[in-house]
Amino acid sequence: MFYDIAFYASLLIFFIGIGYRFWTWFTRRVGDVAYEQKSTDRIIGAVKGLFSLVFSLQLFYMIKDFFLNILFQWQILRENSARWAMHMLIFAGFMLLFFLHAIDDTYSHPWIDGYLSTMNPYLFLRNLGAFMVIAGLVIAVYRRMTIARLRKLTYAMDRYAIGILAIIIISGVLLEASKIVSHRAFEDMAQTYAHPAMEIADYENDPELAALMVYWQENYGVVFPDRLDPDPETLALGSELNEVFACSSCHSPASSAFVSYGTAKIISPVANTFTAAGAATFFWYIHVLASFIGLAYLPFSKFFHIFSTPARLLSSGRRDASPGSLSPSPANIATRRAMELDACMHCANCSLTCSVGPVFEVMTNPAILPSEKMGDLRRMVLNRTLPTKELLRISEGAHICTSCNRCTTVCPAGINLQDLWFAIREELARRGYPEPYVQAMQKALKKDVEKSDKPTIPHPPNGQEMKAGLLLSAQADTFSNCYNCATCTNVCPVVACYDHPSKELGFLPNQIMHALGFGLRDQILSSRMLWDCVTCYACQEACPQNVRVADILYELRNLAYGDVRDEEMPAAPKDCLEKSCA
Amino acid sequence: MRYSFFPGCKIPYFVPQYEIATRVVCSSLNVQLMDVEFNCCGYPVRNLDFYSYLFSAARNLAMAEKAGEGILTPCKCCYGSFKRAEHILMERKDLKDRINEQLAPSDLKYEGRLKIRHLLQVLYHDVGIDAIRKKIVKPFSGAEVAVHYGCHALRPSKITAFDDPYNPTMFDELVEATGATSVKWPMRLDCCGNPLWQKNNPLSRLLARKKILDARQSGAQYLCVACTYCQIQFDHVQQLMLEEDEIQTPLPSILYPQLLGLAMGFSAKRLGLDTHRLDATGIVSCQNVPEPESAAGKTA
Ligand code: SF4
Ligand code: SF4
Ligand code: SF4
Ligand code: SF4
Repeated sequence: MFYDIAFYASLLIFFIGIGYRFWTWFTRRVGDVAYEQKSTDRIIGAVKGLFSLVFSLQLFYMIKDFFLNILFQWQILRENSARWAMHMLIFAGFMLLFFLHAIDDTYSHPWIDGYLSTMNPYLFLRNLGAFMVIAGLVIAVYRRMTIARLRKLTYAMDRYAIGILAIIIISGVLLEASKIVSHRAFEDMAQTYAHPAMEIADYENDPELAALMVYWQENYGVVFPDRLDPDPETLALGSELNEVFACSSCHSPASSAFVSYGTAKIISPVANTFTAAGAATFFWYIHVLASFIGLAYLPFSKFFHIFSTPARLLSSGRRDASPGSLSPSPANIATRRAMELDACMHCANCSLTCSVGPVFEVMTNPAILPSEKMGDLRRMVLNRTLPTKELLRISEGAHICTSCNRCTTVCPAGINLQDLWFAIREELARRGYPEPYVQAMQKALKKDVEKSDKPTIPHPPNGQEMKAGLLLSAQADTFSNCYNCATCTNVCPVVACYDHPSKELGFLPNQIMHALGFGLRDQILSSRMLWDCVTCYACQEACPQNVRVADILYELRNLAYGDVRDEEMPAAPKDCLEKSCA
Repeated sequence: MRYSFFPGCKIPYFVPQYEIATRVVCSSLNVQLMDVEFNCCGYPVRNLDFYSYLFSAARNLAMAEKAGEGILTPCKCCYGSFKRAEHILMERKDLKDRINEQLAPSDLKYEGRLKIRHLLQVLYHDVGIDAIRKKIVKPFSGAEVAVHYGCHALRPSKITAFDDPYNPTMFDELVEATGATSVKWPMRLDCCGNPLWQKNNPLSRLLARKKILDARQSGAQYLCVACTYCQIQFDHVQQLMLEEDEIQTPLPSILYPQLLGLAMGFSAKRLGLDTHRLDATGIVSCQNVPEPESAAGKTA
């Protein structure tokens, strides 16, 4: 009763969850194209696409993808053999358990002739499955703990995935082990099957039953309250009776259940306490509950990838990841993007090879890394009102990415991350979050210099503070050597673009260098010149005083961006400017 | 000659033909390119955070040192980025120590003894103009090419040590070695404007437009560049400018290894010349029909 209710309830949640997630593939909007497409168009587009896929040469690729990239995970094998071993062990082990154990009522019994869960090869295979999953989980945990970046990127959802699998498998093993050692289980079986055959009157003192007990103690791992003496004669009789009563026709030797049997041996010293406390029932509840929770929660956990990732791979595989491949219709792009948000299983493969990984090491904003940007994009799509702080953090990550395409080439789910990075920038722009450079500029230009507290020319002039903030690149403090000859300004191609440069650009390069000596921070940062500098280094090349003009302008922009970080993202990791000055 | 090859971030997706053409000419000129899994050179993040830039650059240098050869990049911004990092780390021991401390867990250490080279330098200094001339089988004649030097390799010359900052000749000589004519144009050392792309697009385009018009006025039929970002600017951005009528006639841009590759007898397709946004394949019509005996004499 409990079992049935729990099972159907979790199955119901499971199907509702799956249905809901499929539905979101046609309703979620990711990037500009999605805003022009109605859900109905997207569904029609998908159906059409599916048809043309099935009736074209693409079908061949689909089949190839299914075997190569979904079942065999060729992409992962190419990248990393430890990860491949982990995936295959968990996947194959779980499939064994799923078909030969979890659904044996619906699958094994009707379909496999002579199936008996307690007989070999099924008894052995079930343990093999458990062993494989455990081995896979050990690799997973080991990788997540020893690879520094992976450890940083391991969150609750990843721990849940590993944890729930571990609970299901370990409780299953313990359940089987406590059944093996249980003398009660033995007695129940003996009463049901052996007694009628033996027609025993005196259950307590029957010599044949005693012989059978000795035999099961020695060969099947049963632990009786008092250890029985295994003398060879009794054992021989027990062996004979094991055949006569047909016990052996239903029970392969317990040692072939090598995982549970090993566990049974380990717990045998306390086996009677286990049995007395009803451990088998306890573990049964844990096992069944964990399995049902896993099932019900599957559509909402990262295990959903067992549906979404193959779906993504089959829809167009890795074929549209390469530049210059045929482009699907806008409706299908919108659908594909929504689907891709679900197809990521947070393996962090991409983040381990990301080109701007070292920037993440310094700035420690996870949004810089692709696997985390996936999550951020997902949150942005789900929640249209993320706080400024969050959006700035996401924007920083999204724009530091250089669109190098490397993550796309390594993603085992075949996600076109490159395309999603265009989408995430579109989403950010929609919400008014342009490049961090532009943000820093907008913030700096907004400074109302006229009303700033400081007098325009401080008395006495003091550039010490500015100097201290500019100690990074080699000799940024060379601005002190400027004698204001304006050569830098005269060679500047940006200055040359304007008829009235001072009006348009604020302080010009020579003025900025000069103003630095006075510490006029606000006036400098709010000069358009600083932000329109094209970094051509003509000024620095020409300066007779070896002032590192262009390098200094770079650092001033760093200062301005530091302001954005400090003021708008107080929770963000501390700016590295400070660290390296310390 | 062996170098660790540093393509940089923008090549794989935006300008893959640059890498293809570079590999083609390098292998036939006996420059061996080794593959190392590098990271971003740090240039793109320099506006935001100096130390992130420096750490990224230094990490690559350390990896190349570990690989045991010099580093070769076809991108001038990557080149400038590395040279500057090299310079800073030489001047600032405190930063170098800090960076090495941070590199230690990845089993890397930057010593400061790496050869940093741009593709053009390798072709000019290591291979040599004479050796290149010997390989020319289909020289150009009458192709008027405007050589774009690119800022980040050229300046500040004290740090980049690329060529004479006011009167550079390396690129011109390399172009002339293919038989093409390097036209004299006033703005050849100016910036292409790409560093401001996505930051101030009108200004970025204005700077590009000035150069394009100047080059055409000086008689150029093609631009020749040797930098990923310059190519993006003169190909992708110029196409946008054409679409929006900011300029009327295109001045297609060709990457130097493509120009050289064509002259060495490789096909336009092999060099990815057919993948540009602005069609530059017309330049093959300026190539001489190969005449085995006279070809070598003509280019001399
Ligand atoms: S495209 Fe962006 S996120 Fe992906 S590897 Fe390159 S820099 Fe990292
Ligand atoms: S995007 Fe791909 S590679 Fe990156 S974490 Fe997700 S599934 Fe893994
Ligand atoms: S060229 Fe040098 S000395 Fe002259 S104004 Fe500019 S920074 Fe000062
Ligand atoms: S680096 Fe900037 S300030 Fe200096 S000349 Fe070039 S554009 Fe002008």
